[in-house]
Amino acid sequence: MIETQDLDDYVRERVSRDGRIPLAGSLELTWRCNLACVHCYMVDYRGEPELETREVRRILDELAEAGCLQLLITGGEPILRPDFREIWRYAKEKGLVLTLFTNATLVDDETAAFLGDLPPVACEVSLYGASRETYGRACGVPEAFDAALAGLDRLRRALPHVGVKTMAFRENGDDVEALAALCEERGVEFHFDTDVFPRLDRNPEPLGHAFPPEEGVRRVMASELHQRVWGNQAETWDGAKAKPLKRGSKVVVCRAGESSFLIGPYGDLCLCTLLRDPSFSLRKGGFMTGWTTTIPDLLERERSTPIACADCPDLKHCVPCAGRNYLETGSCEREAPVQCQRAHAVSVLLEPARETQEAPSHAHL
Amino acid sequence: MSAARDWRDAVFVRAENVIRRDVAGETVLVPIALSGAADLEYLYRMNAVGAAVWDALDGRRSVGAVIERIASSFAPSADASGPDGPRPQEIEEDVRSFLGDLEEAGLAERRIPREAAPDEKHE
Repeated sequence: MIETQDLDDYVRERVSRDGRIPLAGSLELTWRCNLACVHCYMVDYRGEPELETREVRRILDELAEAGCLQLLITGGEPILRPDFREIWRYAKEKGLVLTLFTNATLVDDETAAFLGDLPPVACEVSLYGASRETYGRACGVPEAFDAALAGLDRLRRALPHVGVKTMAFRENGDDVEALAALCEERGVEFHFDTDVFPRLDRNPEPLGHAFPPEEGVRRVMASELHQRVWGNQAETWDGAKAKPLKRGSKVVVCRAGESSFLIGPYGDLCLCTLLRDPSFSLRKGGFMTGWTTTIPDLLERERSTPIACADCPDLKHCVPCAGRNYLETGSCEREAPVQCQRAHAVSVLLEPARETQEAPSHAHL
Repeated sequence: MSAARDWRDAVFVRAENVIRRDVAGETVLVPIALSGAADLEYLYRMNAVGAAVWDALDGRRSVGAVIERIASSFAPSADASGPDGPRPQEIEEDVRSFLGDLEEAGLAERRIPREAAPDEKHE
């Protein structure tokens, strides 16, 4: 009559068996942030009102009714919202399994105690430097480093699962090992990446702070930390086998939208973090209307030209992404150069024989 | 009073930190806090009988009353269940087993058996 099951396994099983169900979503409570990280893909907030508390509660009602189980609460910095706790409590009482992304700078004792009583299944703290100096270069507010560390310590004492993640780029890349050590001392998980995106308005400025694609991949792949902490991903890259794109004729080739979705702070329901257009305004209609119209319409959209990735020798090390294509090129169908270059760099690292081969032509667009 | 009698008179209370959810046609229990219930990374799937038992655990109804309630919903007659439903005896065993599972997982708590109120015995 009762069976215990891992949440992720449950979501996979339900989607595999029952098709599209909105089981796992993200809710950006705000795009505002008290930091100004140079690599951030967020844009300045629109100048229109964010969802009010009552609107968020109504959306949470609709998500629970639609079957949503896992919900990432993120931002911007979600704790900036004065109604953060009210929203969090309401979502928990609806039976949503929450994950929290935060920079931890605003986590005081009271917030940590509150979260400890109603804990997220996981909490990821973004920490972009291991010193005030680096943090200041990366995030623009050096003194916030102390607040971030204090917040991280409060969270790790209050919560069952806290991790730290960082994006390594020119301003902070040399701090990765120090960050790993800082996390090890505290007994929290740490992971990092080097994959920076343009801003959501297609402003390429963040890319100017990123390492060149080859160096970024090399830093990740060569890292002892990567081998130890991201062993599974290294294995995936290493052991990946070329396989045809299942959705190669479609604009959206990944599995986004099968069970996942994203809701922005202005109530826009969209496919994912990187692909915001088309969207469905939850201020004008219910969640299920958007889930059953706007999202599937996008998923069914056919490409106007054949996808170049289909015959790419780097495909097995690549995750083609319509959203990234759009941000880098202005078209969901035109391959994103940085993505191509990173995939080729992985190929060369893992298959040295490839080094003498040219990157696919679209990697040099 | 016999052990069986004690058991039927016991009252189960649902854990406060567990939320019952309907997820696209399935009933699941989701822990929302750490005390009592199991790991937040897990959920509990229930079939229709399990969900009906869970709903019947209102903190006042005795196990015996719960069994009678479930039997009246899922077993069409007292003699035989017909082609689709379970026998009453099977229901009692299943409910006992289910309640034991809930208790072990920290999803429900058994209160000290007490003299059941008359309305509970005959509900």
